[in-house]
Amino acid sequence: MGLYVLAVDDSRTIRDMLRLVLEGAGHTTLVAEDGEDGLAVLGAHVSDHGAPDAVITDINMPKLNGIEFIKGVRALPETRLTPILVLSTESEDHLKSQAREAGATGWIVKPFDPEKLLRAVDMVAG
Amino acid sequence: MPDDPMQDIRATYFLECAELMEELIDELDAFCAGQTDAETINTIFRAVHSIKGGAGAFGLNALVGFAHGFENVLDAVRSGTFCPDGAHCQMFLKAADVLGDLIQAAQAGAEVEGDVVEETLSALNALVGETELLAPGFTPQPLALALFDDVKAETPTSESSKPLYVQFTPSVALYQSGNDPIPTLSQLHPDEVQTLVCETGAVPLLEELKVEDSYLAWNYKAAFAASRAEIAHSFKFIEGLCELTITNASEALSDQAVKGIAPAASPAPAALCVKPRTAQTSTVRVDLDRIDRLVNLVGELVINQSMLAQNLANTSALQVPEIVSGMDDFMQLTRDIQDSVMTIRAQPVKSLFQRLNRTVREAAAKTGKEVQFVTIGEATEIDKTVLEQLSEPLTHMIRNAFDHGLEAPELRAAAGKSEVGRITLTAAHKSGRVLLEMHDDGAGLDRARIKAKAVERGLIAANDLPSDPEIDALLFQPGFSTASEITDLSGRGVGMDVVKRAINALGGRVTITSVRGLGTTLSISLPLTLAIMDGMIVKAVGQAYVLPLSAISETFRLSDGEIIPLDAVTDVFTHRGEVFPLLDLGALLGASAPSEGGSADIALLIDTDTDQRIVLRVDAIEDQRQVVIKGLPRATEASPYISAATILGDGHVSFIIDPSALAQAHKTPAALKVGSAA
Repeated sequence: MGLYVLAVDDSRTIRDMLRLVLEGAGHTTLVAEDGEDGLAVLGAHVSDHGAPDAVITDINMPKLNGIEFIKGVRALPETRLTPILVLSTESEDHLKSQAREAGATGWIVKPFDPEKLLRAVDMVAG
Repeated sequence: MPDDPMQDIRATYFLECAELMEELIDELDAFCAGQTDAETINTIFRAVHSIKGGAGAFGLNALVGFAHGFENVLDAVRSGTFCPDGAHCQMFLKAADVLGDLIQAAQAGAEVEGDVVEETLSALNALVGETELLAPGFTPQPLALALFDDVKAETPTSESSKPLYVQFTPSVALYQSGNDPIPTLSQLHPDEVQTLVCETGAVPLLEELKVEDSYLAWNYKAAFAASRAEIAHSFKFIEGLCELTITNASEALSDQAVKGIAPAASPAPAALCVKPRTAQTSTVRVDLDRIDRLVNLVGELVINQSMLAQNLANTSALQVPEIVSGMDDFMQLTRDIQDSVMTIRAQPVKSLFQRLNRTVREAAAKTGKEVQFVTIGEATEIDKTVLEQLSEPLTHMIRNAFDHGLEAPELRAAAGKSEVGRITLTAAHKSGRVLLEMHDDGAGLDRARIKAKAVERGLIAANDLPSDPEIDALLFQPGFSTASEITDLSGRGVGMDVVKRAINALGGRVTITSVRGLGTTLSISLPLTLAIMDGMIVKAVGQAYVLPLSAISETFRLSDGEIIPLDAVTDVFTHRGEVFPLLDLGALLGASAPSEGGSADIALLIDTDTDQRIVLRVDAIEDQRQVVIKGLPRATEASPYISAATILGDGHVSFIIDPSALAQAHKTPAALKVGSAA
């Protein structure tokens, strides 16, 4: 489908898996390892190519956590309405509301089913 | 999914686990030692969280289960709802060990044997059960359908093709969160659409239309093969952002209506039991270079002040009361500035002691010797640079204690000692210096073996009779090791002399004492700062030299005692019933003709770092004052007895004598015949 997706997660393993799944489906993937890095990568991409088609982010990350990162994405005019999917675990159910208030579009539970992930990406960005 | 990339990612995962485990244990050690700030506990939590996340992806269920339990407890700790005590901390460390074992097992495709996993997990779960996980103010929302379970797709069975009536009204917030109703609605896949109405009644006139507002709603009546739960599930991303009603078309109202659910009240963050470190003192990060410059400049200030005082003393200026009091104030201010600057670079040894915790644990694991590590005086402050340089020597000393000092548990039991050994590390300030002591309650030094080794290496002659302290000091000779085989931890024969050199380079001294069967103690004495020293100015052959005041234990006149020549080159000095080697400072420094040795000459009793005391003869004692230590350029390593230089008040350069070097100058008479003299 050829979407541009930004994936932010502090676990190298998860980043690799996301990249594998997304690029396997023909999407171009950018990665970042925490919220701070994520905003930097996003900023760089936006100035070159405009907003990505979707953003996938973890919640628990060092430096800048997922909630703050989402707020940062929403604060950028170009990405104000870019779909943001949160990668959450059951232990973070109570964070869904926070993520929602920050502006998240939807969520995917870890460990994630690759098909469900791709469907969700299509659904919000397709 | 192709197999190969997954294998790579799996390998990456275990690499990542190794890194996370290291971080986890380091931070857990720090936390248990009292560092309970948010960053520490968050790092701990994230480490377990990430390990769990990846494990789930690879179906490593045992690992997931345990990590999950551990994560729960850590979550409670970081949210402040559970405050662990010392015993809990120990349990956490144990849990970390179990986690490491599970990771290793998972990597090898094996299982962890025994009950330890289950037991530890139960213990962890019990902690969580005891505490109030839900923070106050959190009210769970009633949910009619299993909307949130992506993983456990537990959907009520549906009859085929049930006619349903879906009313969907998106709110503004839906659009603002990047959602789009169209893809959502297109997920529905009805079998047969009966009606689809878009309600436009809310759309205002053009001039009132707000472009980003939401005015449309959709009413959908269709037969769906999917169950109500599944349909509601399609809308799960946008619950709370819309009004959604799903009813059976055949019923007027349904009690299964799923209204837009308001977002659950976010739990109020409980006051952190994990407290930020002590008071909220504001701090500033400063480049170490800038501080060094400041220390240097203050040193120059001290020199200049004393030069000024000296110069004024020779004039009549000191007749003027204002000048006198001005100079007094100046001196006091200089002292105060000096004190303040010296404390800037000082840091508590606590962080160093914490790191050593880990060294102890690793060594204990490697050697199978159980050890209790006790630290005293963590708040003692040392210059930052010194602190950093101490890490290696102390680590080595600990490993040495494990290898050579502490006996195996069976041997200890046989000797009537407790099977658990003990290493005690103490730090304290004493007479202007910092004293560090490491004591192990092991078997003590085997002096017979050390002496034999020393003879073997030609360090002493076979018929020499070194005293116990002298034998102990042999351990600091290069290449010395009595280990029969090179163990992993130490024993490569480069140990204690490297430690000694490191300590000496910091301006410190290290000594070793031991009682056979009871243990060994390593004592390190360090200057409070590297830059400024309390010195005694002495005169020898017309020159002024500086001796560290801390090394001088007594001063007296040569006439107070008796000089006894031992042989052609050696004199000893007897005083109050004790015998000391006698050295002449002028002679040591290469004066062509040693002083005549008048009875008025001054003798200084010097402590060298080998606990051997010598008497040093000088022409006169000038003064006692603080001097700024200036390093010597490499080219001027003329005399082995000189360690540094300073600028005295009169502007002259004066050399600082190294007391430990003096000890080498004059070994015991027996040794003198064999080894090389100064």
